[in-house]
Amino acid sequence: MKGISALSATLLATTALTALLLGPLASAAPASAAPAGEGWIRLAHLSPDTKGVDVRVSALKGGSTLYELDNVRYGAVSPYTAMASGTYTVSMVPAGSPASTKPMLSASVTVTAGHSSTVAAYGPNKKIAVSIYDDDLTVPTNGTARIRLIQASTLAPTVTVKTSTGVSVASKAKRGAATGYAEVGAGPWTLDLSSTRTVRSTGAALTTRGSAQVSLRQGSVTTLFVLDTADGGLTIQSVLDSASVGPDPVGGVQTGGGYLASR
Amino acid sequence: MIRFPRVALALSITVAVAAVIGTAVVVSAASAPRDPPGPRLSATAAPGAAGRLQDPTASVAPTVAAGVVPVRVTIPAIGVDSGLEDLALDEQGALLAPRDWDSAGWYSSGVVPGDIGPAVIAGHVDSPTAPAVFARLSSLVDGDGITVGMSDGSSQTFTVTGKIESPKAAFPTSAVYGNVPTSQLRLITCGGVFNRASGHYLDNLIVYASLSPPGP
Repeated sequence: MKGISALSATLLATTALTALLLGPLASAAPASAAPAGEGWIRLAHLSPDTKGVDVRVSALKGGSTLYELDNVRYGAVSPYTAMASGTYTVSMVPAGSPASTKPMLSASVTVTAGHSSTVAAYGPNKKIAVSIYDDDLTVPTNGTARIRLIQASTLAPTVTVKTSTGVSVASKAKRGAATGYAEVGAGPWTLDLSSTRTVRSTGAALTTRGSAQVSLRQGSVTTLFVLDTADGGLTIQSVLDSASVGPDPVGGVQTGGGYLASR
Repeated sequence: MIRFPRVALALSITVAVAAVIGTAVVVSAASAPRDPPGPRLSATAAPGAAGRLQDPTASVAPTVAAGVVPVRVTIPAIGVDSGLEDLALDEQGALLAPRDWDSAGWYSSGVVPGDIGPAVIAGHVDSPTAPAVFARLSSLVDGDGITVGMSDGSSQTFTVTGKIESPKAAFPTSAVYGNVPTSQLRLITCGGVFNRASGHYLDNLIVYASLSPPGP
């Protein structure tokens, strides 16, 4: 396995901090990869005891629905959709509700040109809230990939993930937190996960361990979502955030013989 | 050229219990004692409450099946209907153009059209003696369609979102080849002034396109 940057050792508790650290790089990222003035959002259902929801995105000041996803169920992370930069209202209703239904959850979301973010309904149903995570569009250093973890389990207070080679991806990531992106060598990795919680009845510490396999393509950026399962266990869902072409060609391409230039 | 396996989208991996380590008590998800009582949640019915923990859905993100590659590109607006050569990098890392003036080529160590990321298709604008496959690429405008035929008989349709002409000496590598969160396509040919000494054009013309939403 190839090396991992020091970034991986640092757990960033808030996405705001992530954005701050990635800011200078992110601003150098190509806004021209999107049609001018567009950014991207994707929607995620991360509330384990909430049924499927219909999600609607509309202009902040009301008006028609601009983007809609029906029956988004727990664990689903949608593909990204391009939106003109601006501020929108994202609202959710139980799946199949009539259009007039009062939203069970809504939040305003700002889309910035050339940037992408994940809008998630997170937490146990009683405390369900919208979390917004800034996603990375910076190009991983040649030969590497980027990976982070969103700790969306409602049961595990913290989750720690290391590679099988012992390098930290997430150290005691708290509920709802996104770690910073760690740069790792492209290729297959085994990730070891551990989580400790206290059993209320006995006060005993309970540790759950497991491992997951991921395969990271050169130039890819991946989020690992830690999720609850119906029997109280944990699972990891690996979702691609973005990808570059892979091995970057150097310079331009010689695609002409000159005939038209002499006409 | 080694192709790394693509990241499996929405791959769900149940975290299986490994082993007892040190003094930690290890609990299998299957046999986990209810932490008292784990899945007891929201007694009052909030909107949308399931009343219990659910397993995550195996969400299916659109992706191209492993091993499926592009074999044809069709651009009705400019009369292009071409097979695809596999393109590779030369020893200096530059993308090699198609061998056949009249055929487009796909950068086969790159992204498969339809997968997340910028897939790259290049073609000659002309040969020394005639117009070539991408002679009219500069005529494309926003909204024009590009169809890529795949080896399994399916097709991916892209919509032109922009184009730029850039000196090869200052090729916008990150804008053309850098990270994007959706399925995109780059069409590349030559443009600008032809340098008779080198036998090459000075500029590249790059057309940007995004995967079209599934039609009705």
